[in-house]
Amino acid sequence: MAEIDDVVDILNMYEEITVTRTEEEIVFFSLYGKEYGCWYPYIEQDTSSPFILVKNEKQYDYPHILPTSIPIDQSKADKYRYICLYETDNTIKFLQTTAEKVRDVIERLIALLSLSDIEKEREFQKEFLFYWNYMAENSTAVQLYIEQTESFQRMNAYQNTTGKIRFVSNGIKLSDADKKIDGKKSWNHLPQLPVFYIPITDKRRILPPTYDKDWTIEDILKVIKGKEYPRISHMSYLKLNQERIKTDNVGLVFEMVIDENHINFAMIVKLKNARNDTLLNKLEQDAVEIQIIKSKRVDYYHLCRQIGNDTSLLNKRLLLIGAGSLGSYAAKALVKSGIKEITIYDQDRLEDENIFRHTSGIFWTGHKKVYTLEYELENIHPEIHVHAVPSNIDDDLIIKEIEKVDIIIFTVGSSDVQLHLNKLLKQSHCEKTVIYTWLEAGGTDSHILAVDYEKRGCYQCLFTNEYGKLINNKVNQISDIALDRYKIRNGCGATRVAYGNAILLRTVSVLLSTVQMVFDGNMSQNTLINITPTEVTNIGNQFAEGKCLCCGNENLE
Amino acid sequence: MKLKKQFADFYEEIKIQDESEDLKSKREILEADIRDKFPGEMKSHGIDLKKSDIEIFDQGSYKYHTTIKSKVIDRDVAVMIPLDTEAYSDPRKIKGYLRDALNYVSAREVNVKEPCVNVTYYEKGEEWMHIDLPLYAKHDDEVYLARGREFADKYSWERADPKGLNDDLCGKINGNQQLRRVIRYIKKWKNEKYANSTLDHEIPPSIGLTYLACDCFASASTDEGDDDLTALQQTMANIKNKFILTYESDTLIKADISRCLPVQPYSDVFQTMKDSSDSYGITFYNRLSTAVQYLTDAVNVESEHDAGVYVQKVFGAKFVVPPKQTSSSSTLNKKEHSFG
Repeated sequence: MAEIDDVVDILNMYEEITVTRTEEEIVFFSLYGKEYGCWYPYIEQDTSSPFILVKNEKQYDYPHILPTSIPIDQSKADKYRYICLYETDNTIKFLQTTAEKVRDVIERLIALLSLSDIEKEREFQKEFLFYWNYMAENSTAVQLYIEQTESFQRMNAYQNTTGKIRFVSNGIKLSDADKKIDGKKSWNHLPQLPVFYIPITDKRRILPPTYDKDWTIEDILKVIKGKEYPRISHMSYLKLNQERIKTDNVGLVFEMVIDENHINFAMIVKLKNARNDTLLNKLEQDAVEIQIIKSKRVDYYHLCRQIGNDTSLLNKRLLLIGAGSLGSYAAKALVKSGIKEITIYDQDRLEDENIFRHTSGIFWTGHKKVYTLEYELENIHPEIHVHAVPSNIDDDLIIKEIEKVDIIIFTVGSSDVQLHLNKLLKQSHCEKTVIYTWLEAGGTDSHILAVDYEKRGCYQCLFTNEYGKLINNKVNQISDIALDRYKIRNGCGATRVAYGNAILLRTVSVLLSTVQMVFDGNMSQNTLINITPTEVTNIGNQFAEGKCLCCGNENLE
Repeated sequence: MKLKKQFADFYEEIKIQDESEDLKSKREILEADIRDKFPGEMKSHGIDLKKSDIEIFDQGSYKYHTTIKSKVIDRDVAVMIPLDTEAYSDPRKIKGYLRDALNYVSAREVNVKEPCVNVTYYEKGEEWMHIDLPLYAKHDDEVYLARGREFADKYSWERADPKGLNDDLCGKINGNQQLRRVIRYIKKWKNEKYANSTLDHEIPPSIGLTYLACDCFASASTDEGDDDLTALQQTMANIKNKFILTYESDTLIKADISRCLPVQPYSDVFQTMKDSSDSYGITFYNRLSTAVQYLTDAVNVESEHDAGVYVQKVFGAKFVVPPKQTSSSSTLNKKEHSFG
């Protein structure tokens, strides 16, 4: 717990600082001609920190000094503004002594007040969205779905029945766009509000609206028509000159990169009239008022980039054969990793016994597994599109699907199905990578085989010995006796094996890495990966004996 | 590697990558006017010039992509016409005709200067841009630059090869991004140190600095990428070593540097500076030596902050010094990042 005298003693150690008075938990001091307060609440918390307030003054726009004022003194006559000196969760406060915390906050304040003009600009830009959103009039952020191209785009505005608004690039299709609730479309186009996305290529001198400096049309013109140097690409400028509007409102969504973060800020520009003219002319000649709006970019590409997803998977299309336990986990992981177009084949229905090893819950019991997955996946994000086929894939269908996808993944239990289709894919000279995954009963071992049919080795190689004779899967570890032990018989001919669900997560995590390896171009040979609870072993193409009747007679490397 | 981010940010701050839309549109209007009006003006003086015979092409830093921000936008656009330079031996008159052809709108002011015809644009009474038009004549397969102020005694059609010069510099700079950056850093240093210069020819010409940077360029990189601090320090030190110094009783009385153009007229780009005053070369050398010393100190000190302080002395406040890591900074070993 910090005693106020301790804080005073520490502050007195700084030549630049003069302590002026104390009041309860606050030590007031002057620094560089202004009055500040160091507030260290008497709360015994190892994880708390002191913070700094500055006496409120108009015309005092400075980075990290928040625009709102708070009355803190007893008479409430003087108002102060909070100075934000910490990034959340940036330091472990528990490890600091009280004196260290006070010194730290004072040093941060002195550093902040010593910024050069260019440093102040950078700090303002880092906090751009804070200031922008503070000035915004809407409380619920407009959702932005912006196409990946990072070039000038026309967007459409939509509003749903609860009043939420979305700005969506023309090239983005959302799965819920045409859905109806009680016979009414849930999202309705707002043709009276055309919207344009304009990426900023040079962010110099672009500052957020602050305490007493609002954004005006001059700020917009500075961005789109910089005198000294362009702040948008010439292509964007030409588009501004080509796009025509005939409304008295236009939405603008700007994007700029600050410290490698892409930030978007949006506004609605009110125009004098609805005469038909180019967007540039309308902005130059007819702009009357700017309404700053709060927005949040939520498109699939942006969210993937925000969490550091491997971009090699973006926009790849997947054919998933099998919507059972492994298929459901794999599908969910893959659509959160960059694959948003997915076709799924499976004719099974969800049963109660599936629930604890399937991503779908008990609500879905009795429904076709592909439909439960379609619903769940498309609800993750509206840019995820699932083509659910409630039947098992056959020869004709798989040949047709090959052309439409970038990768095929088998998550079916039946070796027969996989052996048959492996042979068909080989004979059809399938050019897409095919990944076979399977789990062993008991939940210990699982395997992933990635096959490029132009390379050595295929799924049938696993069932072929060194003499070219067909045998049972030679990489499986479980014995026939043990297999029988894990078998669950629930009626005439119907069986399933027990393997728990930890194996599903293990296998899917390796499957994700395998898919990334394929799209990164790092799969130099066909690859078998064996997975146990403690080890992942990549044995490359050693499984291929060269005697396989499906692929072994070909001299492939 | 020290100051990687600071140099990257500084480069973003000083560079001009492309023409602004205003500049582009003003230049396009001006170019159209040259094609439309110059032939008529020439005709009124008895000289035939076809619109289609006028060649207009980029010159200078916008061509080599080495432009930096300055108070006034400065753009070079070459104008080349076929002309019998023996029959029309006074280039001052031809420059005057070009001026007269263009000087009909209030938005711009056109003057004959040396060596260019200068078009200046004003806004609210302040100059915000000028476009320099060097005027070339093609005669008997040779190219000549029109030299001489309007009323100067000295004037000539000087042999030139502007396209050859463009090719030579583009060949040296294109594909070498670190060299391009170093050229811009050196130009920024010049602007900073010669900000208050008013004397004619006191300032080392940009073409000279660009060529010296190309000649003396020393690339530097580490596993972390390009090391611009070291590259700049070594390049500027190499330029410094190019000077020929003359001392009298331990006093530096002359600091000469030369760089001849690799194309016609093969002249020394520093000749005018040298002819104007010996002190200009000495000032150039001394300022360069100071910069090299600061950059060397920046390379040698351990602390990133101290290195930044030295570099800031070369470039001014636009170069941001990284924060000091003080021993009292209690957060040094207590950083973390959260996940969720």
